[in-house]
Amino acid sequence: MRVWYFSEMAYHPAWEEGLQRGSLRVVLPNRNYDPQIGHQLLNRYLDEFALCDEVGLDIMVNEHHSTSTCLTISVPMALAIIARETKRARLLSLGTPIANRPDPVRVAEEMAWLDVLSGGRLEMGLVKGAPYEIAPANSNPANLMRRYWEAHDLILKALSTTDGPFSWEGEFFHYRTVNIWPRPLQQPTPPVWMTGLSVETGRMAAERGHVVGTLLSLSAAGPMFEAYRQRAREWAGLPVLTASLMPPWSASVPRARRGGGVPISLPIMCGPPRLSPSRSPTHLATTRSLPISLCSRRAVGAAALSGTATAIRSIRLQRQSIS
Amino acid sequence: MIKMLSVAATSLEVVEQGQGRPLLFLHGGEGLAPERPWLDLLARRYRVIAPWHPGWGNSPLIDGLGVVDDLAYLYLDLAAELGLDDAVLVGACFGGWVAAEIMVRSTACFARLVLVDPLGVKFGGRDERDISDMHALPRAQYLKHTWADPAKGEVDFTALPDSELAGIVRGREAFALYGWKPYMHNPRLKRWLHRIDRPTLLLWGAEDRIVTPAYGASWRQAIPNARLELIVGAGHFPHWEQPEAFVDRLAAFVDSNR
Repeated sequence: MRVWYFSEMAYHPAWEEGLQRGSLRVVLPNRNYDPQIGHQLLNRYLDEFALCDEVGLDIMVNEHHSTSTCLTISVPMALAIIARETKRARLLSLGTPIANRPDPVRVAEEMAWLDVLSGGRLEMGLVKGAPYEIAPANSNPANLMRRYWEAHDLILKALSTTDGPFSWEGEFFHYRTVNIWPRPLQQPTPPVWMTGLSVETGRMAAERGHVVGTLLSLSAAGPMFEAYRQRAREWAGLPVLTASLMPPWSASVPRARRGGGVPISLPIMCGPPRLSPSRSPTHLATTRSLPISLCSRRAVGAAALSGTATAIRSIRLQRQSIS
Repeated sequence: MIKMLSVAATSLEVVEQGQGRPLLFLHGGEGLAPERPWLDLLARRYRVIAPWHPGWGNSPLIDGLGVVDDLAYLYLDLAAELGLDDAVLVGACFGGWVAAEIMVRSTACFARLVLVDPLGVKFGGRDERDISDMHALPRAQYLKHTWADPAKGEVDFTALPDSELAGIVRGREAFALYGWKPYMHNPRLKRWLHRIDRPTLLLWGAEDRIVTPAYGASWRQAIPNARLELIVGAGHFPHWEQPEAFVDRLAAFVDSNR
């Protein structure tokens, strides 16, 4: 079992105001953000990520925009710091909202750079982004999926092409020459993760040997994972797939508003063992295979949550007392 | 009569009603709504030809895309195919944008242009919003922006059959597809409005808060032979909210000086 520590690096001091006004994001003016407190919080969150490495946890970072719930506005920026402060943890970007990014080649460059910097520890999530990301990105929601798949294909081609440059003239993106430096350490690309809620996404991820994850919905996870498993068997003959869970909140973020110990969200992942036929031997040599978990989701989740929170909190207290 | 036409290698759902001078009506973002009284009133005077834009009704998107230029060429092809001559072109809201795109390309088929609270052009500065963000306004706000009497715009969505709801959602999706960014306008259109060499009426809901009468005044200045008239007691949909006044004002303009 792998356990991923995930924090959105929230700015919780604005939550009371936001909840009173009816929104924590997009329309909540940023005068509710005190940069001095933000300075302390950001550094504390990054310290926590560093501590994860010491206790054997893997690390997940995501990004959102115009929101008090998540001050990680750039996955590559956060992971660049975390990559330097950690040595063993897999670094999961979940991820870059590529349908909202104007420049997919830039995304490929950043992912390759992170993979090289971290010594091949990057897990590369290419996500669609939540609906409330549409406004800050001002990306057209009506053709978002077409843009997603074009960006996805272009990013993977940019990462895996070694005899470029190549040109790209698609529906949304145009490049004269694509030839990224650096190229990724994991070949042909870092492992790819997707997110979704639908049976269709499950199938699409399976066909590509990607990991698929869902959020906030155990009821959606079942059908999507079943479609994933079935398609993976049909497509690649994969007999076994893995599932893992990620604890959903930073141990340091107050949970009072959600009551008790109920998690704010519970991402659940389903993916191939690292034996996908689409991966080259080089790739197998540079990544560790995910152990298969057959535990019940609830048991895994509970263990992961309490374990992470307790470990992080105790080590943080130790560090504070030392300094 | 509603029928499917084949134009420019795509199919188009069109309602045709009435006799007399041909009038091509291009609907707005909220759709055609032929069941509202405006169509019957208009069809008493004209041969009304009113397509559902690709993406609305049963008209499929052209090549799966939402490009306003394509609509301009599509309707020029339709006008040629129907042999329209000395016709009236009417465009409301989003349809007004399309109508202007048609007329800067060719005015050959049309003798009169009527733009009803049109979108499509940006006159203000980069810090100003010419067109209210219809996709971001909460429903209650949206109704206040679009109707002089917001109660008239209320729709009980829970009472609608799934097929009708699906149609509404499909239209909204198409509306976003055509005009998300730049928001509901073509930055180059203003440059070419001088090419509209036909008498033009800008018919405006006096209480429209999506595009205000002040925005209409900018349109009037940009089109050589245009006049602006306000309809009192109407918001963004004068043909729905004040159908009699809408048809009377339209006819007074269209039928004059012939």
